[in-house]
Formats: sequence, structure tokens, C-alpha cells
Amino acid sequence: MTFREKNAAATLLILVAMYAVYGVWLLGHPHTRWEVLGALIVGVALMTLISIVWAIGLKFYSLARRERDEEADERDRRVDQKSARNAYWVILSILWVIPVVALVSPSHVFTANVVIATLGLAEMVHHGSRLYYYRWGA
Amino acid sequence: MTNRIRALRFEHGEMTQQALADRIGVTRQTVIAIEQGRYSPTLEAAFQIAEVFGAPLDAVFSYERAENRQ
Repeated sequence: MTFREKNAAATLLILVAMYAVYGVWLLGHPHTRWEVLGALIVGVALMTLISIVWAIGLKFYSLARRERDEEADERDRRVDQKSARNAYWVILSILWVIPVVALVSPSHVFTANVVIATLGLAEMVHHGSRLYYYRWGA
Repeated sequence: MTNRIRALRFEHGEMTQQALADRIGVTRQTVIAIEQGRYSPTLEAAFQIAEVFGAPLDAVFSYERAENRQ
């Protein structure tokens, strides 16, 4: 696995883990909008921190193994473009549902969580696609 | 799309994937992906590869229509 594949795999794992924890917490019992807001802020901060620690750790690991520090080339750019396009389609597809949800939803918390789920799914599709294209071809 | 890069590397003094990658300005992983047919290079990179081996483009890459493959 190359540095970029490891990075995509780790980011995907971190995302799935964070959203799973958040989902389980959310389904536990009803929450106020302030509790959800607090969980979101803590979640994003934690995810950022874990990603930074992971990136630094992976860099040191690569240096220790004397792996070449390679800049992105045409294949990396194509993988990124195709993955971002997949994520874009996810957002675009679900975006049309959000106004409907907002109009019929009983609470703002529910609407906010639909938006969060959309963004989470798009991020997972983005990094999952990167991993797929690196492994099986772009 | 198929290619003869692996064969051509060996015909050219067993050139390594890294050496070819350095000559055309891509990573070794990209050369591996091209050789294995997991990635079709841009036209520019394809011409650069052909130039490295001093061969015309169609001596390195060949394209077969889907219906001809069956």
C-alpha cells in the first residue's frame, strides 16, 4: 500500500468510526439542539486532531522506511478528480431531498442531522473511491 | 488498452520501473499501474514513454475494440 492509499484508508476508517459513534449516541435518546451542536463541535475537533496525529505518524513511518516522498502525478490527480466527482454526485442527489425534509421535519435537529449524514456519506464516498481507484484502477 | 512496457524495459538494459518513472515524471506506482493496465496514461505521458524507448507510440501501446476481444 502506498502512502496515499494508506492515507485514504485511514481517513475512511476515521470517518466511519466517528459517524458510527455519533449515530449510536444520537439514537440513544432524544437530544436538544444544543447537545447536538456540542457533539458536532467536539466530533469535528476530534476528527481533525486524529487526522493530524495520523498524518504526522504516517509521515514518520514513511521516513523511517526511507520511502520516497513523491509529489502527486497525473494518476493521483485523475483519482482525486474522479473521487471528488463521485462525492459531488452524492451531495447533488441528496440536496434535493433536504428542502422537503426541512419543510416536513418535526425539528431542526432532524434536518441538521440529514445534512450531516449527507456530508458524511459524501466524504466516505470520496475517500472510498480514492481507495478503490488506487487499488483497482482509475 | 494493452502495452509492451515491461518487455521494452527489459530490452533496454533491464530498466527499472523507478528509472522509467523518473524519466517521464511520474511515480513508480503509476508506472506499475500502467504496466498492469489499471491506468491509461495521458497522451503526453504515452508519447514520453515511447520516446524513452525510442519506439513509435503504436509499438508501445495497442488498442483493441471491445467486440474484437471476444
